[in-house]
Amino acid sequence: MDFLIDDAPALVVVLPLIVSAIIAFISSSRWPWIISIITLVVHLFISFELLSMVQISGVILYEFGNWQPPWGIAFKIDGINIGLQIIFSSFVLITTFYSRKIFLSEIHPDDSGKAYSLWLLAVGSLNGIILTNDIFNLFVFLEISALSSISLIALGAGMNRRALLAAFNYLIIGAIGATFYVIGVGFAYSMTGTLNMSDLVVQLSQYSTGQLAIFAGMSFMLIGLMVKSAVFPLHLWLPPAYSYAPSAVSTLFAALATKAILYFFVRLIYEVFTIYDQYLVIFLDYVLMPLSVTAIFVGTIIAIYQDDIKKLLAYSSIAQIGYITLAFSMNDQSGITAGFIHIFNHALIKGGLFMAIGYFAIFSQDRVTLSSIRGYGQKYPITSFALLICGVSLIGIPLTNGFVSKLYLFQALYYNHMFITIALVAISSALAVIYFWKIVESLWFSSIKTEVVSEDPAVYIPIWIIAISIIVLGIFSAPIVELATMASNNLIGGFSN
Amino acid sequence: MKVEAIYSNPLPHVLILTAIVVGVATSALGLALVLQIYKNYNTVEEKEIEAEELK
Repeated sequence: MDFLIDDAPALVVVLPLIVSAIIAFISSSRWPWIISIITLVVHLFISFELLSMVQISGVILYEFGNWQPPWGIAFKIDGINIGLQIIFSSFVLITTFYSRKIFLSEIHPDDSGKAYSLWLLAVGSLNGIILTNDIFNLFVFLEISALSSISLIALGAGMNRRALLAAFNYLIIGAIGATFYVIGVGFAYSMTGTLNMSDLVVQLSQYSTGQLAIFAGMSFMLIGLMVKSAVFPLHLWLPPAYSYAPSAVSTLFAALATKAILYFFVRLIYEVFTIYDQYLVIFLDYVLMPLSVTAIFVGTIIAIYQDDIKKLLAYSSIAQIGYITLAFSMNDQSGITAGFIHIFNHALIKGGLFMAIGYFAIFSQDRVTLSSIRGYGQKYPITSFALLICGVSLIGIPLTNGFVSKLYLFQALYYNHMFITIALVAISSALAVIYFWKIVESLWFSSIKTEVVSEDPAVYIPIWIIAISIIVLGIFSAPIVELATMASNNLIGGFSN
Repeated sequence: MKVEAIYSNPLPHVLILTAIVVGVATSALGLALVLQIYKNYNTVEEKEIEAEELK
């Protein structure tokens, strides 16, 4: 069992990838799911093992094939990314439990081996994005996650053929984003001769006054990542992709995919390129911050006018990504803490919402629209109530984790004396009430009277786990806040204005 | 006698090769999607697909 301890950092990523290659060939509808569950449980176990190792010995640097960095590829595991990874893995496990019934209703049962194969591929690559310490390795993981997500989105074609167009759009836009990123990596490599992030920090110090090639490289990398994480106005691929994907897939990606990339985005700004703080401050203040505020408003207002609920949630995701990038653009500790808190909380909230809507999609056997869910509040009370908790949290009502996010965001804005932005964020939260109210209205306040229909525990238990953790983390927010504070302390070291 | 070994840096080759492989995979997936789009819409003309969706 020694290898399990020694090579744990590699196994976290490699295990889902290997299993994914195996289960692609299983044509049964049940076994791929069972194997995925077992894999993810083992995966979570290894992650906890890693966490205890990090707590004992501090940062772990894992060198692949014993090639020492900066030549070889390295994973750097610290208290933050392993914490992020454990939260993500637990969420993936819950989603996988939930996904079986949903997949069965949306794709052909014989295809479930392939679907879960792609599913594990996406999970493995997202973990890689979080753990890697090599900018080119990140590009490879970025592409693995993009290709597997595109294929998963295209699986939605069984329900609605527009999924194919959405997947193709994502493919083209995502490929442009990835190309931007890799051009940036090329510039950085040509100037510094290194790809390792820790070494890059050291090598960049010789160009402390800045060089045009490095600025160009940095801009290419940041813009490429902004495309991938759907920061307004580079978000156009996201709403159709999330709304036409099979519901289980929407849940996984809405919760995790963009967040993992945002984590790397922040690391790049505050850890790697910190010595160019004067340039970065301009980027943060005049590019990222206005774009985030616009994203919050555009996303929320478009969401208000949506009839299709999955689309509504996708546009609300654009707004929520706006909140996260707004927090990250503040260039101080309180802002980055708020951003990380919202990364965790929004993953739970949006995941729970997509889960509930995905369950409704089984019953309506069509697009879930505001008119098709009329009376569902009485018909499916268990799921509807969980949906209500998630939605209330999305708006930011006290006693939910969404409130904790908003609280820290307001605090950070206050520390930075951005009073106009405080007002704007408050207005946008009020606007969010409008679109969520429309859902509540069709669920409970319609004239249709229906009987209570029994719901499937295999589906509503995962949804309720999410709903309960939303409330628990809203009351006992300390673990999330501590992790986020640790993350921001780590990143902000050396970046001062 | 000291012989100076001249060799080229292998890393850029590896990077380009990886980028090519990724590019091939992306194109393959893209073409597979186009094929499916053709099967579903009987056309790959963007305007005709748009017209069909607006119906």
